Amino acid sequence: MARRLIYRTAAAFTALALAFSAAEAAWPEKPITITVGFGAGGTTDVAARAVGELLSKKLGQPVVIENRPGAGGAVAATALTKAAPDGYNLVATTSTTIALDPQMTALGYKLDDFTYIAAIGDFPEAFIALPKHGWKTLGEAFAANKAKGTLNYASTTSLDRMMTKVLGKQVGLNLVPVPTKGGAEAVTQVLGGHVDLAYSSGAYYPQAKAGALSVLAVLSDRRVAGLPDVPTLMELGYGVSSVNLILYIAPKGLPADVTAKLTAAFAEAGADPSTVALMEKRSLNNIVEVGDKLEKTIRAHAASYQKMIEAAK
Amino acid sequence: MSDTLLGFGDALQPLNIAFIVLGVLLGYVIGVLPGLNRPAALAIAVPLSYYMTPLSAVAFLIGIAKASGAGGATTAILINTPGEPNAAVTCLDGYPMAKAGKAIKALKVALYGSVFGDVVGTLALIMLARPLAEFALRIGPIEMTTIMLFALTLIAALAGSSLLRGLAAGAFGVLLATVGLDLESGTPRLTFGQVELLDGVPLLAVTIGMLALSEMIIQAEGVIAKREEPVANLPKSDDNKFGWREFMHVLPTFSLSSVIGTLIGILPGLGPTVASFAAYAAAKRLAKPGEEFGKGEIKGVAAAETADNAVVPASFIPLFALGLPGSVSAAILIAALTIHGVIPGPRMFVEHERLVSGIFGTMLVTAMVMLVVGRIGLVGFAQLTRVPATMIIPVVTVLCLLGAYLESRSLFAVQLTIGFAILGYIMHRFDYSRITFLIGFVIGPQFELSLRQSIIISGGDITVVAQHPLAMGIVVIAIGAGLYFMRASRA
Repeated sequence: MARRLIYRTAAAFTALALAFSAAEAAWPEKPITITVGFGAGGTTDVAARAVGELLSKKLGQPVVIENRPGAGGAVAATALTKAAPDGYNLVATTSTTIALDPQMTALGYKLDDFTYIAAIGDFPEAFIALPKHGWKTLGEAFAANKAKGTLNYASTTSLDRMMTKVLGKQVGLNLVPVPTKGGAEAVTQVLGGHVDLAYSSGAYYPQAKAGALSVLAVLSDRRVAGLPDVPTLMELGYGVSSVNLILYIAPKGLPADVTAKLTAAFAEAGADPSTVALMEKRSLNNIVEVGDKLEKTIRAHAASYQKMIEAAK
Repeated sequence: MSDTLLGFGDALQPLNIAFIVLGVLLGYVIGVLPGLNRPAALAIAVPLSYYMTPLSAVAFLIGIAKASGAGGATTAILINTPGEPNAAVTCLDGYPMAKAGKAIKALKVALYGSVFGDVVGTLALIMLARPLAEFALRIGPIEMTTIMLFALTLIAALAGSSLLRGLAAGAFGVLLATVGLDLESGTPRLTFGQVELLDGVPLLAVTIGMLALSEMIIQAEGVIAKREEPVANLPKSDDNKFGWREFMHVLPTFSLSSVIGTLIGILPGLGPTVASFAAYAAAKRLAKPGEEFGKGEIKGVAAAETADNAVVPASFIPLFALGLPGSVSAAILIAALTIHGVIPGPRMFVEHERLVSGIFGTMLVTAMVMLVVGRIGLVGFAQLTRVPATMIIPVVTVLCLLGAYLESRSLFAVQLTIGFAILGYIMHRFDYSRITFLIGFVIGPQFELSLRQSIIISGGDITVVAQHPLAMGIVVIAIGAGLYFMRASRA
């Protein structure tokens, strides 16, 4: 009886030990799910699907892409905080979902709730206007309306409202945001001549290439690859910038070895020629950052947004 | 020119037609089944299309987008449950027709109207894309506000037995539409701390709950109380012919509704549901003596179905002319094209002439495929009337809950859907129109957005309307229509 118990215990321990070592060695042993915080067909979705396919080749497991749109990615991010940190649940969203939105609206997550895996590509956000005004840069647009004292622009996010508030204070102009449903509508409002300027995160690109729109300034830290002549806000001397990355995150407390494998796979996927070509097509800047460096970047974004919120008050 | 011909040739390739047929079949199934909706279907289909050639992907997606609109009428007519929200108005006359034994006739007019509207919208896209898009650009926030005002007067036209209760239901719809983040300040309104509500109450939960699921409760009650004959034993009528005479009879309705649908389609933010409401109201307004709308008038079915199908191709006009999506379907088409390196917009006609004409050819072929598939399917679908309600009710209920879940993959949407089903049932019991509720709910957000944009742009000065002749014209029509509808509904 006693011997039998010993055998059984030993067997159970062996099984357990095997199971543990298997778990350590074998990740990933089942499909990985990337939940996209936006609808199917958007830029984030298209990018995540392309990256997902490369990941599945590198990791030897299928990568399933699901869409869970809502509140600018916040619905997916909130759900992720409740998921297990086992490396099978990732979220793809924009970096502002994490770095800015919780500072603007009460949301169920904060910076510390995530493990930062990778960022691949950033949006070519810009200020646009109709060419008929003859404005070459944002400064010229501001100067032309100095006497009027006010300038309206089609707005799409809380980020652009905050930035223009800071800009307006600097140049002594009342920049009035006209809210829109999103990028496409903002561009339409400018094309139809209903507003003076618009902030657009990328929908303007084909029209700008066709010459129907002037791009006055890029918001990112560096120029947009497809529009090498357009200066950044920093270069124009406004001292503000906004970089919006396509971000891949996991729940906090992800095991170190899983994190290492994931970040390595993402880094490879980001450098793949097919990803580079895709970013070019979607007019995204080719940026790849992973792991600790990325976390520092996101924290720096959050800090600069906080400063901007203060400055906008 | 030769590229254009080659493009049309591409559209007729067997493989391309195969993808159209596949898309149309899938679209029809989605359209017919209540609960499963076009956005959900497209969201599922997009990833599949990534692996196809650009034209095949477009053929597949267009097939789904077009056929789901046409299929939505089937269950609206047969079991008073719209398969798609835009078929809600089809119920008003379609179901009474079915009850009078003219189900097949109603299905035929719905199908022919759908194809008619679709062809008109497609031809407008092919021939008038550029001028229509230029026209759409001229519609600014101020014009849009007046259009929305006009659309709200439809509440009076479709209020049913009591104008007051119709208005109350419409106002309730507008109120629910205010849930979500405030447009300007970003402050959450009526969300009670729910992140899921930040974007507003999901349209799908409202439409599935209010229109489909609540109808199942109503029918279940009828079966249990044996007050009403179960759907199965509908009488058969000899009046199921739809020939040349009938076609000529509804041709004016087909034509007017196609124009209404096309015009609404090119304006972003309105969509097929508003188009079917507007066309129905227009047809009712132009009713001749002896035509009783709401009691099985064939023109009612014709108006709703024609307009809602004209919207789909028309909503592609801003996409092809300007590169800007005018609808969910158009946004998804952009994705399908860009993944293959084609950037939609004005330069597309020059850079990808063959592909563009291939897409146009594909859209025309899709209309023909819809006609054939729909005509064959009609015979089968008509058998639905012989399925007992005790089978239909549980199946539709499961589909509704599944559809609600699939869209957002959250139980929250399912709970909301059930909540709206109960609300819809209560509204039905006390004779508050679910249709006017839907008008308020669908139009509310766009009305608020346009109004607030106008106030900002004009600096709060209402006299600027005088500088917008188009807006002035629409205001006058809106006031006239509003007064007329109110008088008519009192009479």
